[in-house]
Amino acid sequence: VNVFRDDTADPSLPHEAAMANAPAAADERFLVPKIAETGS
Amino acid sequence: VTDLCDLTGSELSAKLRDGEITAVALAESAIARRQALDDRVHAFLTPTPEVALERAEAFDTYLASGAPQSGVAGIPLALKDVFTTKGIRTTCGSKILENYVPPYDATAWTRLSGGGSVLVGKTNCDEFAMGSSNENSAYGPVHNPWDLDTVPGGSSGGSAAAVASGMAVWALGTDTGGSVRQPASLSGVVGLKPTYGRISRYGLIAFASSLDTVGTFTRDVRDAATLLGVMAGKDHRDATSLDADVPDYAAEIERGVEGLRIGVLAEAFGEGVEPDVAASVRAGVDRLAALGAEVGEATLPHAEYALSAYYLIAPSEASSNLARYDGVRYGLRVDGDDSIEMMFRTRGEGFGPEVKRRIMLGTYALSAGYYEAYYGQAQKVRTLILRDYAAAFERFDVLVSPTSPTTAFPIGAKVDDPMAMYLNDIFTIPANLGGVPAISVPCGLDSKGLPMGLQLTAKALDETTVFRAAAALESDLGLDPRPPLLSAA
Repeated sequence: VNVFRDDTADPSLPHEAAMANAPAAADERFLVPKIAETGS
Repeated sequence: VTDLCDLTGSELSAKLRDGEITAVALAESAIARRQALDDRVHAFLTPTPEVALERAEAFDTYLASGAPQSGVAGIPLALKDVFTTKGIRTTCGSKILENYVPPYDATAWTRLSGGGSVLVGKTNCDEFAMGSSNENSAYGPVHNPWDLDTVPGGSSGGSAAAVASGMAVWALGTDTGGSVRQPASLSGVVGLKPTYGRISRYGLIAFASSLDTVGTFTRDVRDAATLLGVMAGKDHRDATSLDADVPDYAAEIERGVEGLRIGVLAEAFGEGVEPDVAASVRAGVDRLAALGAEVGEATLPHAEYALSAYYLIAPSEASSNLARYDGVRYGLRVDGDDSIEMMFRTRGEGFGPEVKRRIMLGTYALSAGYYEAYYGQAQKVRTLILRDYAAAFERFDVLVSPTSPTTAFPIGAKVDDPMAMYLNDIFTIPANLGGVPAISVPCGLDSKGLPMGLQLTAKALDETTVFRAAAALESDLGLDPRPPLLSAA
């Protein structure tokens, strides 16, 4: 059974609210430790 | 002594409407009860007295203007700490979310809040709702108000204990395998698990998405009907929420059981069921028969495989759902030299032993080469159980069993034996696998003075019949179970 709804856009979470719980962030991005060697 | 917080939601709603009491006085009564008892019960992880008083005041002002009133308006409510509450810490009973402050509200809470519900706090629970005794909470166990040395059941143990002891008039929990009904049974309150999809799961922190159901703890059946009526219905934010009409549940609960076909589950009185529990449930069935119900013997032949299937399906879904706790976007982060080490450490330190056990079980059951043998087989069992229910509901309107094979057990008694712990949910799990509604209603005290519960199950979306049968039994038994802790206070 397919159930469809109208393709209407809702407001989504403000960027700031979505980032508020991040353990580390910079420039509106999540900050993580390095994921690969930077080459020797 | 009976305080305001000891009355039912419907009694209080009438008193508020008549101007006999104020919502502030009612909130203060629940707050005072928590302050008096919760150092011994430990039902709350985050009490919210300021929020409660602010909302109660707003309600009193609103009521003074003569505006119409919802059945939940002004009534003190507790939420299991797995429902997201905007601006109020939500931990899931886990260290990994110790400082998580959600930026949005769960739909179930939004709907109650919109009706004027007064939030008194977030309740203790097993970590990520995984457990049957509340001993898996990272913040320490809840003590059963009936006997502080015993467990209140789980995973929604804090909500059950809060309602049993008057720290809240009613509360929400979640029921994935019995996590509302079993603690309701062990704590002497009414516990409802509605049909899967009847209440939106949006904002409910996920454990096992095909089984998770929002449920209620109340002091009587009418209150459960009131809460369900406010929360039920389609929510475009949860694709699994059902677009079915929401009946006036409270309107029909006094219709009685005359002519109702009640099937007693034969297999639910066997080994492992305490004699007091079996006797009390059978006595409850006799009362329903005396009230005019037609009683017969029912069976769910594949229910014996339900527990095994559940412990493959639920951990499989959990292992996927809990992958999100990686220390990147929210929750605990334990630093490491690189991202993988950071994630290993975060999850290693953030999750407790039972959560790790289930993630490992689930990851294994879903792994290449084993998927068909474990997860695939479990899904086939689920289909067989759905067919069992379909067959049983051709002959019967309601099925009866004990809610839990035992009454409350001592804290620590089963912590080292996961299998013994899992057996607590043997009679509640089938309803989750089948997606059908079920309720636990108090049916007496055992020889130790601990509460017992009788479970009533009906076909999908037939909560009305569950309420009818439960209300008839409740009214006939005329129990008013109050834990001894309250008389001593």
